[in-house]
Amino acid sequence: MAVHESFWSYARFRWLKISVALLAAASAAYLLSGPARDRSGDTAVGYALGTLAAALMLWLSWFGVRKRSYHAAGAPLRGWLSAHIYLGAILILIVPLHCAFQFGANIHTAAYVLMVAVIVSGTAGVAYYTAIPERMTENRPGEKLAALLEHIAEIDVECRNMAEALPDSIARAVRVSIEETRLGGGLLRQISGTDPRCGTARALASLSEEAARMEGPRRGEVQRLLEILSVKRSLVARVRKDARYKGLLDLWLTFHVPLAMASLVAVAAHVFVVFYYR
Amino acid sequence: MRARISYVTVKRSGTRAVRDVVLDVEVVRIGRGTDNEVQLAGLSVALEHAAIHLRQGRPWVETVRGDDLRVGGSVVSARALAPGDVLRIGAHELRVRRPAAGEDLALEVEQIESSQAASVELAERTRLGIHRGAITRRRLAWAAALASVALFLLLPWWSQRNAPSFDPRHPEHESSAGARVLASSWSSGPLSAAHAHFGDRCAACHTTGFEQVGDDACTACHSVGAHTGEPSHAGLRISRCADCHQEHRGGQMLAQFPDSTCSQCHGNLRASHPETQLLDASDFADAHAEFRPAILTEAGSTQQKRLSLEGSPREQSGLRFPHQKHLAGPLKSPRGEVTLHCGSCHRTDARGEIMQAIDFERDCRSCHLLSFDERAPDRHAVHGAPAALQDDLFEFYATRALRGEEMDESAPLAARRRPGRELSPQEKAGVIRWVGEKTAGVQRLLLSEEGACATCHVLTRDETGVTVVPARLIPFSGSERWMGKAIFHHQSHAAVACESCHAARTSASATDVLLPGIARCRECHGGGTPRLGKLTSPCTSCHDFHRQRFGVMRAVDAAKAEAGS
Repeated sequence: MAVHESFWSYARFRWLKISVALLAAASAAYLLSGPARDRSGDTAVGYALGTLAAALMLWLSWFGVRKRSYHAAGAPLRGWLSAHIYLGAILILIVPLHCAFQFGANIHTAAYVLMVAVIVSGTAGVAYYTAIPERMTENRPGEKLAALLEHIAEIDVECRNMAEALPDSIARAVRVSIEETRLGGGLLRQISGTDPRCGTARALASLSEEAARMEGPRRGEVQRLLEILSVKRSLVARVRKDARYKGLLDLWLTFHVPLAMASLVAVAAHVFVVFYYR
Repeated sequence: MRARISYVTVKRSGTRAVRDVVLDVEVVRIGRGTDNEVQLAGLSVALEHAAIHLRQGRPWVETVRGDDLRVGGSVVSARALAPGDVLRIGAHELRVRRPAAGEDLALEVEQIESSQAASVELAERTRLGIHRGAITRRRLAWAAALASVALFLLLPWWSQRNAPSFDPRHPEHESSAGARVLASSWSSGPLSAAHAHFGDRCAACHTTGFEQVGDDACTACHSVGAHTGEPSHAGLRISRCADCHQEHRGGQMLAQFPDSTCSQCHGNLRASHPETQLLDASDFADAHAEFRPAILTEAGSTQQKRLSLEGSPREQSGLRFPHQKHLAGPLKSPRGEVTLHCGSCHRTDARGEIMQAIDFERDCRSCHLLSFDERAPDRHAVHGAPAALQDDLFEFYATRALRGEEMDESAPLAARRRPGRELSPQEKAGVIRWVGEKTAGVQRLLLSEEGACATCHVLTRDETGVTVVPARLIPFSGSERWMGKAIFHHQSHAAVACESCHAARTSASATDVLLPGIARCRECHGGGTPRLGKLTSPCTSCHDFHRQRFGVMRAVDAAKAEAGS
C-alpha cells in the first residue's frame, strides 16, 4: 500500500532530514551554551529549547485535527504523517537538552515521562501500520469481512440441514458449533485473536470422536460434516485474526491520544509552575 | 468444449423455471465476477472461484481462488466430474447431468438455500471493534487530561496550601510524608543540603508568584554585607544572589563553583575585555602565570608595579633590613642576648590570614632604643616623621634646660644653675636659643648617614639640603600588599616552616622580594581537578569573589569580620 510504504520516504526523506538537522542544531546550541554546570532549563538556550519542544508538541497534536479534514489544501496527509513521526521522535532528545538532563521525582519529569509514553505508543502505531496491513491482506485477500461472515452463515445452514438426518449426539455438536461460536468480544479476546471456548473447535473435537465410533454410510456423512466444519474453523480463525489486526491498529491510538492530552496538560502545568516559582 | 448451463429458479408460486445457456469455450469459469461463464451471487463465492475444463475428454473441476468447493459433500480442490456429481459453491448447487450428443458438459445451477436468517443469528453473536459502549477514545482523552490537571496542579496546590508555616520550635507541626511528596512535586530539583530543611515550604523563598526570588529571601537569614556589586565583575550583569547561587540543583552548598565558572572568561579574558592587564588563567596546576606581586620600584614613590617573580624584581621599600643578620643567631641587645625567629616580628591578622604591618614600637624598639643623649640613656627618641622627632627633642632639651638641670657644657650657665632659682626673661631667651641649636644638632646627627635613622631607613636629601625619610613602608595589608588579588592564609600553612617558602635566612637586603614562586606552591597544590598527591585547589581557594576592597568574595563570617574591623 502506498501510504504505509511512503510516509518514511515522503518527499525524499524531507522530514527525516529536517528533524535530524533540528536535533543537530539543538545539540550544538546545548553543547556550546557555556560550561556543563551552568546548563539548565532556565538559561537562554534552555528556554529556547523548551519553547521549541512545546511548540512541536502543540503542532504534533494538531495532526489529530488535520487528519480529519479530508478536504484540506496543502501537503497531503502522508506528508503530515511523515513530519508527525520524525518530529515526534526527536522530541525524546530535545526535551533532555532543554532541561540539561536534570530529572527528578517531580511533575516536570512526569511531563517528560508522559511525553515519552506518547512517543512509545506512537512508535507502536508506526510499527503496526508498517507490518499489519500486509498481513491483513494475506489473511483475507480481496475479500470483505462480510463475505467471510456470510460464508460462515451459509455453512451453518448447511450443517443444520445435514444434521437433521443424523443422531442426536451429532446434532448437538452441530448446534454447539453454530450457537457457541462467538466472533469478537471483549478487548483482550479480540487482541488475542483466539477463543479457547470456540464452539466450532469443540464441535470438531466431539464429532471426530463420534466419527471414529461410527460405521456404515452414516460415517461418511459425519465425515463430510467434519470437512465442512474444518472450512468453518479456518473462516472463523481468519475473522478472529482480522479482528485482532484491526484491534491492534486501533489499540495503540487508544493509548496515544489520551496520553498525548495528558502530556499536553502536564506540560502546561510544568510551564505554569516554573514561571510561578521563578 | 461445448457446455450447456441450465439455470434453475424456483418462483414464489413453487413453479420451476429453467434457462439454458450453451457455451462453446475452452474453460467454464465459475465465480462472483461478471466475466465468469457461470456467475454466482453471494459473498462466499470468490470472484474467480473455480473452473471446469476437459481433461482427456472428460470434464474436470478445480478451484481457482475459492477455497470452499465441495463435490458430493467433500471438500476438494480438483476432481474429475461424472454425471450425477453435485458441486456446492456458496449457497449454490451445481448438478452434473449426462450431456446431450455433441456436448461435453451439462450443468444445472440452482441457488438452493438462503443464509439470511443464519447471517442475522451470527451477527447477534458477533462483537467486533474495540471501541464500544461508554469508553470512547474521546472520553479517555478527556479523562486523562483531567487526571493530569488533578495530579499535577490541584493536588500539589492543595497540599502546599495546607503545609504548616516554618517554625523550628514546633517540629511536630510537620506535614505528613505524603503531603510533602505532593507539595515538593512542583520543585524543579532537590534543594542544597543547607536549605533542605525548608522542605515543602516553598513560600519561605518564593514569596510572590511569577516573580524571581529576590535577595530579601537570602538576607532574611544571611547577613552578607557588601556581598554583591563587585565592580571588576560588573560586566557579568549579576543583579541578584540567585544569578550565581542557583538553588534546586542539589549539592552541598550554593557557594561552590568549579573552575569553569571563572575560566569561561578568565581562560581567554582578552576576548571579552581587550583592555585588561590581567593574564589568562584557567587552572592553577598548569594554566596560571607566575605570581606578579605589586612592587615599589622607585625609592620615595608609593607607585606599585606588578612584576613577575621570574624577573627577580627588587623592591625599593626605603628600608634597610637584612633578614640574614637578624636571624643569624644570638644577638646583643639592651636586654642581653636574644635569638630572633620569624614570629618575633611577624604576626598574622585576627583571621590568621595575612601578616600584620611591622610595628616599630612592638617589633623593633626593644633592641633599637633610639637613645640620643649619653647623659640620659633611658630617654628614647620618638619613632616618626622628622617634624615629630624635632618636637620631641626640643621638648626634652627645653624641659631640662629651663629647670637648670642641663649638664651640657655648651649650654648657657643659666641652664646649668642649681635648681630652684627663677630665670630672668633674658636668661630664658638665651636658654631657648641654645635648646634650638642643640635640637637641630642632635637631629642632624640622628639623620646623618651614620645616625640611628639610617640604620634602617634609606635617607635622601632634597635640594634644600633637608633630610627626608622616604617611602613609607608597605603596610602588609589592604590592597597595597604584594598579592592584592589573592588570599594567603598563613595559619593554615602553620605545619610548614616559614623558611620553606620565604628565603629570609639568606636575604642580605630589604630589596629582596621574599615570596615563593608558583612552582613552590605547586609542589603541594594541584588545580581544580583532583590529582593523586596534590591538594585540589580550585580558583576560589585563593581568589574569593565578593571580597571587599580586594574585589574578591569571602564567606559571610569573614565579610562580617571585615565590616567590623
